Amino acid sequence: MNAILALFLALGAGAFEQTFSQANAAYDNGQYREAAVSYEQLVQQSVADPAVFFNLGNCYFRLGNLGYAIANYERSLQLRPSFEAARTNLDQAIAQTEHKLNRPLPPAWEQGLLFWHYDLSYRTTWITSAVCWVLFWSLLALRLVRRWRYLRTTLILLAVAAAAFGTSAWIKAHPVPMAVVTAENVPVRFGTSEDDKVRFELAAGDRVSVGDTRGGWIQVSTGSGERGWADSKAFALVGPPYTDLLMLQADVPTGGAAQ
Amino acid sequence: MRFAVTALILALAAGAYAQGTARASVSSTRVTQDVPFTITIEATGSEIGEPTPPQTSPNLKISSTPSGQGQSLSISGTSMRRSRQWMYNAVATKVGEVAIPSFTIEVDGESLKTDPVRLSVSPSSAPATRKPPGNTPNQTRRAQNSPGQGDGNPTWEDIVRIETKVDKEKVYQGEGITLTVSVWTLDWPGVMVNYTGPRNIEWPSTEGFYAGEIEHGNAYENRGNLPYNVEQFQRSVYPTQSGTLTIGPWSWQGRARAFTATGFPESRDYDLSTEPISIEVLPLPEPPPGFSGAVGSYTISASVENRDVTQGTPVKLFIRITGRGNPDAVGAPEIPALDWAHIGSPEVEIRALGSESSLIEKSFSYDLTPLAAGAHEFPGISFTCFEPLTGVYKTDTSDPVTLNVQEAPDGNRLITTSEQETAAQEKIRILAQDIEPITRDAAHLRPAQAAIAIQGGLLGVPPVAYLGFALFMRRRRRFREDISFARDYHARNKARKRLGRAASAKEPADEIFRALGDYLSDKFNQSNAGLTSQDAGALLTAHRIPQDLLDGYVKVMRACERERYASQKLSPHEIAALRSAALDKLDKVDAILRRERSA
Repeated sequence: MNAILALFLALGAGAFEQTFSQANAAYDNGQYREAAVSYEQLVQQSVADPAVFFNLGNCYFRLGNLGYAIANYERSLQLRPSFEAARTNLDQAIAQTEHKLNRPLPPAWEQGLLFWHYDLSYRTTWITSAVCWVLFWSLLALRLVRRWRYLRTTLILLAVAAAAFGTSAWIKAHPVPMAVVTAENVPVRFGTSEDDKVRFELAAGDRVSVGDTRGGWIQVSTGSGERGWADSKAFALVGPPYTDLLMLQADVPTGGAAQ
Repeated sequence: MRFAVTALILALAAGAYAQGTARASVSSTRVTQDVPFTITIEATGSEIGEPTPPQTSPNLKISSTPSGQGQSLSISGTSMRRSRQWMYNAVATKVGEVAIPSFTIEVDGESLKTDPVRLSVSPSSAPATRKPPGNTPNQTRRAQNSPGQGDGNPTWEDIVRIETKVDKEKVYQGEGITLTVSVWTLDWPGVMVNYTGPRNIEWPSTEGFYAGEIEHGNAYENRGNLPYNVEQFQRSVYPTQSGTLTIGPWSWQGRARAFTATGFPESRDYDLSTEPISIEVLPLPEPPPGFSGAVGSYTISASVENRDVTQGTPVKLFIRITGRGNPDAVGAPEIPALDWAHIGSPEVEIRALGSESSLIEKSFSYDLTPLAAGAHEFPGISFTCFEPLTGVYKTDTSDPVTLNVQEAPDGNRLITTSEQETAAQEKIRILAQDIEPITRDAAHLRPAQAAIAIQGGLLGVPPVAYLGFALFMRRRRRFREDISFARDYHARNKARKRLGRAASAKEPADEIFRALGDYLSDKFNQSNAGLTSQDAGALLTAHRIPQDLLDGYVKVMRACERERYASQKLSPHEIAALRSAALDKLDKVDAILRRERSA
């Protein structure tokens, strides 16, 4: 049974790599839309890989859609904060937006307690947490057999480390929802009605954090604290979950000449 | 002697209690000139009449009728006494020491006078000629909407006024109009005005206008010889279309409370509304090329923070547009592309100049990074606006700015001299380069759900494993420390193993006997040395094993005992039967003992 499962996983992995290679080839030929469709297929199949999101961001950038490009660069950096190429391209894309808004900051308590975890990937924090977790229980079991002088201190440190890295991993798996504006000049209103007054406007590529949702409206907040309600159709959620983007459903609006 | 003094005191007290009393008091012995205060008259007795106020003097005016009354009742022995209070409004009109004269009141058939009350009157800041509002309620109803009585005394209509006004009623599209909304409340002693409308006051409708910020101010003005506190709201509005536009009416709700000449305070509700204002908006003439969209009178100037710069080092370039008009309609002027420098995006700042909020300066600051050495000229920038006063378009051009660009020591390289310049240079570097290419390194592509399942499993295994290990160690320690428990736990298996070996043992019957005997001694934590079948029967009897089972168990043991001393050994068939019987009895006894223990 285990062999069958392993074989299944191997076959599936092979198909993913093939799709990835096909997408890369389409990109190299300048067929950015086709390449994006292939990358999106991987995303649809729940493949959450920083390289896939990075390449998808490049496709949208070439197609002139800053909003989706930024959203995918953000996804890539979410999974691998040390991905320098994604950071470079994200800066390039932000520099071309109208407002050049900063990324919304995480909550103050996270910035205070977990200031150290922003350069670590989810995988790193999870593995570290798991190792500390296993070591903690192992040493606790060892304590039943023999007593060591510094065992209690070591257990406490391991417990704290497991909790800290575990919290970090959980937060990385459940970040404050962020969205990127994909349309031009999106009005943000005081309420959830088209008749409500416009509080301010967002431009394509602006990054906001998402609060409440009501019907087709989402409550957005900018990095500077401006808040209001906007039509959810004008945003791409960074995730997780990494939901499908428009490329597979309709023509993606392209803005400006591709570089 | 002591008794007599006490009796005398009590008698005097009773006597005093029996007499009527009258006294006057004030809310405060320090009052302000022309500010009303209250005099309270209190009388105690069985039968109390109405007080007679004293004659008023020029320095002190007292209302002829009380503004309020009260009474209370007390019973002492068989007599009943009443207390009554009357409140009178009064106003001191002269600064200095004033005495409230005595009030006369009939109590229990006796005419009593209150003691005078001395007051200290301090001056007020209000004009000395003011009086309380002169209208009685009846007079107010007859004199509706009449603006004053002409004698300096205000009417109810004078207490609150609202108005909206504009400085211009004929303008060009985009030209600013100052809209002023004000509330006039009468500044008069004893008059209080409160707003009772919705929490947020709706601004008059300015549909078709672009509205600027609201400025708020307070003033003190006279109108019709009456003093008013004026609360003013001002806003610049700019018509966004031509034609006739309307600034809507403005409404205000409130309540005023005032002491009238009768001495009674009265209230009146107000629901006021202004008239709408029509504005005629003229369209702009055909604009020339390069029209900025700004309506007003503006000038433009350009400057740099330093004319001597180094290649690659950014310098601030300022384009300033100064004038009167809507600052939000002033867009960034068109900057020509320079082949010798890079110009970044502008930072915008708006500020009011001097004390006039209509005169503004809007400045656009750019990071200009010279890329080529030598003397270069930044050309003049034109700005075209429409001047409403003259009705024509006006173009102003800034003076050209010359920069002397020194060659950088290392050639054309961006040099960092400050954090802000670093950011600007970084921006230039980013915009000048292409994006990073796609990556082809994507190892281990797999669905995220598989990873999550593995992670969840990994997290759950260690605590479960620890729990199992902890239980194992606990059991092991118990076996080590609790001998009776260990013997009991292993008794059955040990006996069964022994019975299993009995067939191939040298002395099979002896093995069977020992198996059954050791089982009982392990089970009941007894010594197995010298245990006989009779001892076994006693042990089983003590633990209430059923008789037939007990007899069977003992019978097998006796058979084994007899074989020990018999001349002929048992055949294998007999041994097998004995062993089978021993196993059967063993299991049954064990089952009963387990049941007994679990119960």
